[in-house]
This record gives sequence, structure tokens and C-alpha cells, in this order.
Amino acid sequence: MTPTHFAFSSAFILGLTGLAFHRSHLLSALICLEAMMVSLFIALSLWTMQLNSTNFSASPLLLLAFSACEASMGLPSLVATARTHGSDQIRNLNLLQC
Amino acid sequence: MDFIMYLVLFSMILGFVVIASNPSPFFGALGLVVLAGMGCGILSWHGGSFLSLVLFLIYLGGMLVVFAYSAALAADPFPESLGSRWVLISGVIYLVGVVVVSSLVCGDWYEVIWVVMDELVDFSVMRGDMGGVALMYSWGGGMLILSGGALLLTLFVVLELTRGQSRGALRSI
Amino acid sequence: MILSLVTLILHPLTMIVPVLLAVAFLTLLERKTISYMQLRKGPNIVGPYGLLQPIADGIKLFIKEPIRPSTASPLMFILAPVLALTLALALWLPMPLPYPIIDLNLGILFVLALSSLAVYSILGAGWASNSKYALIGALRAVAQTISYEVNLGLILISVTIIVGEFTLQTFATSQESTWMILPLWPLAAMWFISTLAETNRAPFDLTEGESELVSGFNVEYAGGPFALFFLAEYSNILLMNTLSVILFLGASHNPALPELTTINIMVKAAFLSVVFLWVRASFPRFRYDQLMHLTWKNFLPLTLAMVIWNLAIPTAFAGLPPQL
Repeated sequence: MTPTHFAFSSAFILGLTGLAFHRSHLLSALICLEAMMVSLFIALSLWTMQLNSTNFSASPLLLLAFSACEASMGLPSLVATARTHGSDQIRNLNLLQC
Repeated sequence: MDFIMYLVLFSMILGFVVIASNPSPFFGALGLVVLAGMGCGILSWHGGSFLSLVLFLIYLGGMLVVFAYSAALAADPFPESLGSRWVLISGVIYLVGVVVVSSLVCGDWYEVIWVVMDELVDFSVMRGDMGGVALMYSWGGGMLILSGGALLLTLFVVLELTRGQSRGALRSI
Repeated sequence: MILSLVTLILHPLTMIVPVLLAVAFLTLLERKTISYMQLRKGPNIVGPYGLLQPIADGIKLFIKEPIRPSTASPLMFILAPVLALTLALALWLPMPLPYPIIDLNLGILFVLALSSLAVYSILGAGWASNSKYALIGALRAVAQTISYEVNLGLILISVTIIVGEFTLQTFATSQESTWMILPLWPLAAMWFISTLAETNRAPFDLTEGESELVSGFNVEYAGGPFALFFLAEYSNILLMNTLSVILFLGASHNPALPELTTINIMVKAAFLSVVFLWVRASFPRFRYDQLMHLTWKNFLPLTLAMVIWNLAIPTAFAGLPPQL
């Protein structure tokens, strides 16, 4: 294990704990998801670069495309919940009426 | 120069701690900006200049702007900045956790690994990552079409989520 | 050690000082041009023909009290203008005039990435000053900037397909026989309009429409921080014009006389800046929905079609640029 590997794996775990524990806003949860995707991107690109397997350096780009999909799905649902529930607090999503 | 690399790695961890400690969304978006910038630094240090620029362009230029933009939608009357109590406490806890774990594993750390990707240094004109990404258009055809299809599907899903004149998500007031 | 430190400090300074001087005199040129177009005299008291006016303005701005609103978020409020000026000056680093300060392979991607980062300074300023006018102005500015950035990126892709590389020096090489503006004139026109919108200039200066939004995202700024925003804005105008010159009106580089190339580029950039001022003096402001329609419904489909066109034509006629 190198410092770089430690850095991105602990970063992924930090993002995951941040997502799992105490989220108050839906936007914060989305931001945590995005942060996890950034660490995955870094991990994949470091993998291709440190193994000198340049043929695989397209894979982080594909990951980036899918994370762009995820972000663009998350933000409209954020707007939709803010419109239907009045705010984007996650507590509000548990209410049975909207 | 290893010092700068350690600094960049540490700042990236710090950005993640800022996000994980649950401040107001605007500060979270700011932490995401910081960590994406630091990620670009790490990648360019390892020789992936194209990948790092792509990360910079797509993440910082495209998506994070939208995140920071929608932070205006999730505004708090009393924003939890980085200095407020619970944010500070959980941030310190996360940071201490990272330091403890790193001190546990740092015994068998393998120090020198800043490998710069350059095969065929004397003959190649392109950087390795750039050539590798270009391969996506020839050998990665299936995945290319799949991800393009996924993006198209996302477009329709977003349109469906925000559709509607009076009851949709995006409407004129 | 000392020598390397001196070079590390001096090299950026050789770029920063002329850029700041140029920005100072661009403000004077703007005031003079607009005033003569409106049959006024413009600044003519301080120095001959008002030549010392920008210096006097600068001194005035920097010795004024920098106001800090009590409800503002203190750190962000100061960091936003600093970020703006830093980015505006860092954008000049990869510019081949004809030799860049830092020689990057992916120069044009670097410019695009840094200019997209400039949005954060606007957003930070608007959010941190905790005022409704500032926030609305910032949101407008950000929406406008990122919409037009999509456009700029697609136009850049078209031009890079023709040129064959992301390096900025290659643009000069590939335009030795003809200016890129001749074969790509629709793209060049769209590029010019998009740079107008990207730098928040009239007729696209909705972010600082005086009647609606007092002054946009920088209402709460005064004195030094405001001067930083001001310098950043005008430096961005000059930079965008230099970039348009490099992309579309390339100056051929003669290694025996590199000064000639610099003069060539800068004369064209100054000409384009005067066109910016002319546009400001002549056109009324756009309405916001028209602005958005212009980019998303007119420019974006056109540039997408042009990307495919510019990809297909060289492939079909086997005229792809050398991939080196």
C-alpha cells in the first residue's frame, strides 16, 4: 500500500460514511455520492497509470460518463422534491403526506 | 517534490472530511471543488495530464457548477458553516480516524511510487493516457455506444422528471 | 536556489505587469470610445487626454475602505475576488505570444478548464455577500456563463479537429496559408458572440443591469476587492480577444523575429477589443430568455452540426491534419 492508495481508499470510505451518517439535506447526500465517484475516478486512472496499461485509460472516462448520468438524475429529483415537499430536507421525505 | 504530493493528498482527504462532516450544502459543494482540484493535481503528478484535465473540465467546469448552483435551492436560514459545533466535532473525529488508520498501516508503506506513465519515452509523441483514451473510439466501441445510450436515457428521464406546465418540477411561477 | 527563485518570480511578472497595464488602458480606451460615440469628451482632465485617469482610478479604488457587510461570510467574501484575479492572470500563462510562459501540450483544454473555474468566483461572491441582489445577479451570471461555455467548448472542438492538436502553438502553424476565420466563418461569428456573453459584456451584461439588479454579484464590494473583480473582468476581455486571434486570425511565427508575431497578435486583439467597445456603445441589452434561447436553441444545434461537418469533410477528402 502506498500513500496514494491509502489516500483514495480512505477518501472513498469517508464519502461513504458521510453518506450513511447524518445527512440533513438531499443535496449533501448527492454531493457525497459525487465525491465517492471522484475517488473512484482517481483510483481507476491511477490503476491504468501505475500499471502502464494505457489501453485501459478509457475506463475512467466511461466512469465519468456514468457519474454524469447519476448527477443529472439526482439534481432534477432534488428540484422535484423541493417543489413537492417545500424543502429538500431528508426528514421531510419521511412524512406520509406531501 | 514528494512534499507537494503529500500536501495534495492531505488536502484531498481534507476536502472529503469537509464533505463528510455535513455542513450546509454550499460548503459541501466547496469541499467537493477542493477535492476535485486536488484529484487533478494527483493525476497530473502521476503523468495523466489528459485525464486530469478531463476531470477538471467535466467535474469542476460542468457538474460542480450545477451543484453549487442548486445550493441556492437548499438554502438554510442559519447555515451550518465549517466552524459550527457539530460540523467541527465530526470533522475532527473523521480526521483523527484517518490519521489513526494511516499510522496503523504506515509501517509497511511502500514509499516511492510516483510512477510517471511514459512508455517508449524516446519514440512516442503522445502521452500514454491520451492515446489510451483515443482507443475508446476504436476498440471500446461497445462501451462507447452503451454510455452514449445511458446519457440519452438520462436526458429523457430528466425531461420526464421535470415535465409539466403547472405541476412539473420546473415551472414558471 | 536564489536564481531559480528569481526566475520563478520574474517570469510571471513579465506577463502580469503588461497585462495589468493593458487592462488599465483598456478601461481608458473604453471610456474614451464610448464618450466620443455619445458626443462627449470623456476623461480629459487628469494628464494629457486623460491618460493618467486609469492610474488615478486605481489609486482611488485601492485607498478606499474595503467594506465588509456584517452578514457576509467573511472568508468567502475575501477569497472570491482573489480567486477571480488569480484565475484571470493564470489564464495568460499558456498563451503563445509567440512563446508561452508554461508550454503545455493540452494548452487549449487548460484554458477552457481554467476559464470554467472563473464561475466559482462569481458564485462565491454572490453567495458570500448574503444579499438578494448579489445572489440573483450571481445566479444569472453563472447560468449565462455555463450556457455559453458549452458553446465555446464545441467551437473549440471543431477548430481543433481542423488543426489536429490541442497545443496552442499549432494553431499558428496551421494558419500559415490561410486564416481560420475564412473557412470557419460561421463558427468564428458564433465564437465572437459567445465570448461577448462569456465575459458578461454588453449586450449580454444582464448580470449587472443597473436598473434591475443594482450591479449584480458585486453590489456589496467596494474599494480593493471590487478593483480585483474589475481587473479580472477586463483582463478576461483581453484574454478572450487574444484567444480569438490565436484561433481564427492566426499570426504566423517567424523565429528570427518573434517580436513581429507579438505585435501582430496584439494589434489584432486590440482591434477586436475595440469591436467589443463598439458593440457596447451600439446595442441594447438582451432580454434574459432571449439570451438563453440564443445559445441553447440557435448556437448549440448549429455548433453540433458544424462539429460533424468539420469531422466529416477532412475525413471524406483524406485531409486530416498530421497527428503529431
